[in-house]
Amino acid sequence: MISIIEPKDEMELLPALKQWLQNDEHRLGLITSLDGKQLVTLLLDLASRQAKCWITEFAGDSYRSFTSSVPQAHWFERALFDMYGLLPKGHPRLKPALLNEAYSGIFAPLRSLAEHDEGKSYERDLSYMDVGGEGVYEVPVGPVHAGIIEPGHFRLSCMGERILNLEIRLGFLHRGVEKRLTEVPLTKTRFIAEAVASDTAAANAIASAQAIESLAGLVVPEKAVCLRALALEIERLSMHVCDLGGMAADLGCGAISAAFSRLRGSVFRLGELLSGSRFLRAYILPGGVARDADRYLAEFARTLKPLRKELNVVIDSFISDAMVLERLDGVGVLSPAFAKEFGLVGVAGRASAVSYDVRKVFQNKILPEPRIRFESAGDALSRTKIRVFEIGTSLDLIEQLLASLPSGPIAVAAPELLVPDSIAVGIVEAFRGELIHMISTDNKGRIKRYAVKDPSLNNWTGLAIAVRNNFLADFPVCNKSFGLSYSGHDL
Amino acid sequence: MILTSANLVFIVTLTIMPFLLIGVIKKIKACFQNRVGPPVFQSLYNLVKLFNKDEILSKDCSWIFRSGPLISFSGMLLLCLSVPWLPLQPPVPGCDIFLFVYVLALIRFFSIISSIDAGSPFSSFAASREATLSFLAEPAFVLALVALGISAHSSDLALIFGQPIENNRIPLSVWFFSGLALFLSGIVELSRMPIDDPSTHLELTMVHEAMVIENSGPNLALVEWSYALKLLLFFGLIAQCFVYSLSKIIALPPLLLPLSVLVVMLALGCLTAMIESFSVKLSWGKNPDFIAYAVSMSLLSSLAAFAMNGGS
Amino acid sequence: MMNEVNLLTVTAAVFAIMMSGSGQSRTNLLLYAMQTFFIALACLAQAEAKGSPELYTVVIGIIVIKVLTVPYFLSWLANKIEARSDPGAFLPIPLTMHVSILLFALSHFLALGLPLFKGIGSVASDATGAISLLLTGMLFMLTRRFALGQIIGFLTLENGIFLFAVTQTKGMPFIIEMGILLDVLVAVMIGGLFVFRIQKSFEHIDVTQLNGLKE
Repeated sequence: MISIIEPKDEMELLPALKQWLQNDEHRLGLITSLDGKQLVTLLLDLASRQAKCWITEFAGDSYRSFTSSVPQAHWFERALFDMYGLLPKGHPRLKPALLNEAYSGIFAPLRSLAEHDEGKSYERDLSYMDVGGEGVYEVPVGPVHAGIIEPGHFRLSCMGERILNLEIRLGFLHRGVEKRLTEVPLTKTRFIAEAVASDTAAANAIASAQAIESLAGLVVPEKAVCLRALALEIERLSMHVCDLGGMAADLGCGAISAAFSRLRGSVFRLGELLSGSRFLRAYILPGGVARDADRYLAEFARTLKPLRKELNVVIDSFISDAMVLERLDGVGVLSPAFAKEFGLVGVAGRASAVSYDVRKVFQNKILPEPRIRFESAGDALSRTKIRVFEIGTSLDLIEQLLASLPSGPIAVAAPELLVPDSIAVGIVEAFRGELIHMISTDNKGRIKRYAVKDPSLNNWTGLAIAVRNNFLADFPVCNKSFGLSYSGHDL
Repeated sequence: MILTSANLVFIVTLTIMPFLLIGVIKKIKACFQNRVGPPVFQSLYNLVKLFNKDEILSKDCSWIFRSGPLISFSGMLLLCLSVPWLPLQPPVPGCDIFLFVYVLALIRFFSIISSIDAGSPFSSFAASREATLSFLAEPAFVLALVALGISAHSSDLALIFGQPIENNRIPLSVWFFSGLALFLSGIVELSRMPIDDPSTHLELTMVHEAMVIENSGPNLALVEWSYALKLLLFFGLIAQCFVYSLSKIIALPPLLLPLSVLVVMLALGCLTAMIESFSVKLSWGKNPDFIAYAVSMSLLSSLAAFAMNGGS
Repeated sequence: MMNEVNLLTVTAAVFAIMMSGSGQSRTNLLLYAMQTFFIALACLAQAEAKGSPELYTVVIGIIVIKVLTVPYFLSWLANKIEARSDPGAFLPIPLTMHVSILLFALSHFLALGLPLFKGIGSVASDATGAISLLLTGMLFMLTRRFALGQIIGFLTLENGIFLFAVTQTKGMPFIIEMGILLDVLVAVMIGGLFVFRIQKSFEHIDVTQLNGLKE
């Protein structure tokens, strides 16, 4: 949707933001900048289903930090510092978020070459938090891990078997995605957008397509809207099944984990029938979808029925096992108050009483509404329960979408020109939570700034807090229960 | 050491059985996961492979790191040759309960300091975990053996185990509860599920695997080999406890005794694999609760030993 | 040395000891069912030894009511009120198990000292099992935090009394045996309903909070 643009003075930005967040129907979407000379604060109004941008111009390379009064701004401010070298004045602890040690202090990826030639230097503080006291020791984990997962460094300060503090350092996967998205021709944008996080390919493609369509004034045919929703639910299903399997493996239930990975293959099969790609790549494009699945729908329905039955059996044997319940109960607790303050989204948010789901608010009205469930315990067990519940919801939605698939064209012509000087956002409930793509155009209608906010960005802090005072040996379980993305964060 | 036929049986099983046990456990676990699994003797092939590999040493480690695996291997070999883990007299006679326990403690001491010597944070906290767990599990293990000793009126392992059935005076309940106690504490000592997951890749949750995380090449081969011998030793003792308690109920022909012990050892392997496939690894804080069961079984066993001794 | 009956009673006592070592409601109930099953078997052995047909009916009654119905009902209840595990009060749960083993030893000496049956070995070790069950049941009631534990402890205690009666006397009148069995069923139902009501009104079944009612 096209967002409303309001200029905001630097002095009144912070009070206005604080006041905005007082209302439960309001959310902070993201904070970024267009070219390093202003702050763009994207705000979401859930009641009126609108997006609003506050643009704050300021002089120089620093602005007043929000973090002390609006904690959820801290990751955005760190990203701004990395990407533009903008210094938040009064930030309690400014660490790099997106760039690792290998990048020099004069590099700011989203600044232009001319600005780099000026030779500005941005000192990055790479130290870890020092936890003192007798008997406190540090365990560094990563960035290269034992399993096949993405790189991230975790610095655990422990006392005996208890974790006192966890510091997460990401940024090992910085690929310059946001910059690249402004450089490629519009027809190729979708491929880069999908690669933001490949396990969230469909959601990223949909968010990107939504933003571009709003800027081009396109109306997507109803059938394409439904097919996209179908792709999104298949992706959610497959990744939730995969996450549950990973959880089972971490708990040591080898047999159940093997059953989950087999079923994940069946879910991929659904994706292949729909889109021709097991990972739903290259399916969604601005204007519609790439392939009509009509002749595979019969087989799709045939695959779905036994899949649902088998999934129920495996999930039941996993989640009703007294030992599993006991194991997950009370591990990695994240209080609802914290979740609200830090704006957690998705599964982790809903497990801590944040009932926000993009599908309830921003999705197309012709789509069936999902059932939403939230828990308030905020532990690994509630996160697992929410995942299990959402698998059921996704299966229901897939069935409903299949039963009422409209007919008609699957795509309209791809856009060539975008509205100049405006900002549009695409918001999607990816399987991890709220995913935002924000595109701003220059005066010729070219993409000037493409900002991506992955759900993981909101949730990484949640993990760092949730593991405190837990057993060191429980860290993998906490981590898996959050199931966050590294590449989606690192961009 | 005289090469009698009993000794020959001992040495032949000593070379084959440990790898067979590990292979059987892995194979059954693979079956439950719908996989084919590695060949049964894969751990033996791995050993050969590791012995042919180069060793990588941290620049901070000293001779302790390198000698740890050697000490544990030689200690385990000594125990395997002197403890009657088959119901036959062992090649090296005269192993006492306390000698057995203290050699195990010595091995543990050296494996703990050698893993601390490597200087990796993983191997250090794993060493501390190992020390904690064995500190908790050792009373159960010792008490179970002592209960058997009380009933047999001797602390010589050769007079407790490895005896023909007709000479065996230890009552059924002592055999049975000691067997259970040894099995439960064996799960802890051998770092199996639900205390430790031997197949996990998560260093933060490991105990045994993280302790040897810095070992490589021939050094690692010795660690793996001594682990296999330890498995054999424990399973042998446990299997004898169950076979002897079975012989109190059903009359077993004396000749079948060694064979039935081997069969029970394999059955214990199956049981371990089943537990590993279907149970959940316990939270670190719940481990003492599990070990408490081992202690209880050995307490019951020693109670029975005292009661029966007083009665007769 | 040991005949069937006292092997069975001692096994039942061991199951009770293992039960006191677990905080999980489902494990507790499973072990309670096992323990009661062995008591039923002991009762069956007595029935064969004494040749009394009435005891067979009692065995069937025990199996239907105490081995199947009661644990099933209580585990349904535990699920309903989400009382999966008991953190334990006063004593850590593993220690409770060790104390109950000491009680087992104590009951052995008590049984040896019973005046009536001095010298009859097998009867004495039956009494060991029975007294141990009784003491373990009491300990269980004392050391559990949740009201569900009190019910299970009470049932174990009742098992002990029943076992004592069956093995040590010439047999109670049939009607009394069956009456007790029905009483137990009714007690469990009422206890279960109470637990349910307590959960509904106070949102917990923590008995240590009862102290707060004094003020």
